[in-house]
Amino acid sequence: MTALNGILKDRVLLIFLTSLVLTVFVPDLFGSYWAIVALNLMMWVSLTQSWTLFSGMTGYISLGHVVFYGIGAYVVASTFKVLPLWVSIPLGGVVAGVLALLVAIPVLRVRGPYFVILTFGLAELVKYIVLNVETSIGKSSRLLFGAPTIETLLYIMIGLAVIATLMTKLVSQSRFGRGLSAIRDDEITAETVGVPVVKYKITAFTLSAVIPGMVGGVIALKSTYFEVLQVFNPVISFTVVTMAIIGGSGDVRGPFMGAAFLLLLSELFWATIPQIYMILVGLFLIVFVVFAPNGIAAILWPARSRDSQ
Amino acid sequence: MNLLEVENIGKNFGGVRALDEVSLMVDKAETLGLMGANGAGKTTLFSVIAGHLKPSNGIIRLKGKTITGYRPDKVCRLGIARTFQIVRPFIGMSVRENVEVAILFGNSGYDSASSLGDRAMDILDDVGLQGLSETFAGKLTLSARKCLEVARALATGPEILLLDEVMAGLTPREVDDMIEIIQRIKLQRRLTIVIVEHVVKALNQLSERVVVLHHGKIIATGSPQEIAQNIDVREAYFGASDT
Repeated sequence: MTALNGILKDRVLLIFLTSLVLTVFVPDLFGSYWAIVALNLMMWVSLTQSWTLFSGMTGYISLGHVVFYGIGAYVVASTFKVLPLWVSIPLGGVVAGVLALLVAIPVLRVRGPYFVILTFGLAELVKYIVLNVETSIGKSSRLLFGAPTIETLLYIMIGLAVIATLMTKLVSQSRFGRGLSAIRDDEITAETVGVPVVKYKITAFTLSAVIPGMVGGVIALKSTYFEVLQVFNPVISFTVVTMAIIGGSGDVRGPFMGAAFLLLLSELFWATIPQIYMILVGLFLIVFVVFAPNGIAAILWPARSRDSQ
Repeated sequence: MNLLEVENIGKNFGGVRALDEVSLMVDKAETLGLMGANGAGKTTLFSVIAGHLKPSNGIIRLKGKTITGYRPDKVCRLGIARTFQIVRPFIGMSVRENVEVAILFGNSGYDSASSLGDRAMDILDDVGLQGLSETFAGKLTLSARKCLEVARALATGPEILLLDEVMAGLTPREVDDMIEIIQRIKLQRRLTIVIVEHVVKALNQLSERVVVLHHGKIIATGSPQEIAQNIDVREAYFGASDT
């Protein structure tokens, strides 16, 4: 209850959440093209927000978060017309969470660059397992006829973005969040002062997988077909990390700023000069890492940070 | 009953026997000094007790209960806190936040009866860091970092404090301050302390009993005065006995 009180008193968070919710008016005001842009924005906000819950707080950089998105998409696509969507989409989240829990135990034993490579490799492994399963049962891709409208999907995605934001915020203000920050700073010291590091890392990793699982399911419905190489595309993982770095992950607004910034960039260049787009993304990434490692959020809303004082 | 019992602890690193059948007992409210040359196994022993290293053989008991092989966070919650010789603060947090994490997760538990910040400030007062509470731990001087190590260990609410060379690298003046801090917190909290130290003066002033490790084995146990006279110890340190 005290956590809920904290949320209600947090003006920044309330304004931010309200603006997310206001996106429901985009289809009516600006038409279906912008509805899709809004849907994409909410998708990236949800993914990046969830990613920061684990990687932002613990400093373990996951380069394989697409695996949870992909597995959620797979659950929804393979149970399409079998299970109602209000069951299959949350089920995608649950399956993603269970997958995270299973892989967390071996994966979280390694640290630093080894962890990064391992998460990437694991996502690729799952991708090819799913690909082989699909090929062996004669489904190179699945068409999803009769999926909900873009508006409906947008409403669901806004809900996911709000939940992802709230989850990250609640965690960061809790005792659990303090423990995760301690792990990021020095894992050995953290366990020395009593932080149950193994339990905490596994819990955070699992929590950060659930929303991406549901997002994947919604996106499969948006594209009305399911193709393994597309939903397990590692570029999705890279994009999430890029958005978290450019936006900043110390503030709930950071993932939003990162997602909005990259989407704006892609709106401006991707359709017309795609080569320029990737070059610009690379350039911005370098500029931010070198000059503003805490991202846009830290520039717009400078808070107390380890570099001040 | 002894508060802490270390029984026949051995630790191998590959072919190196870092600890060889080490046994010692620590009584409640006692201060035990641990000395020995570099590489004698002092820090290894601390790491084994605190759960950072699993012993190759042997048993560790706390109040009669076997705790061998427990993870460090569990050992901490049972009331054993350690400091690190090479200081390891949470550098992204302020001094106060460092201590708050230890209060939140340590042995004493946090009951929210008094505010977390107030409790942290009380502990910082005890080690003389109150003026630096909002400074980031990464910006502290060495002596302040050593004090922070002690404060963080204290904040976990331990019964036993393992202090690993908290005076190494300090000036004589700072050593005196640290000795005073340790004496004060020990009395206030009825702490049991095991202290590894090269500063002989500190060992003499603080410890009632001293254990000397040499190549992973205990070669002498006694009062600080007895140890100073011990021939084996002199040989281990100076290579010859000239008594």
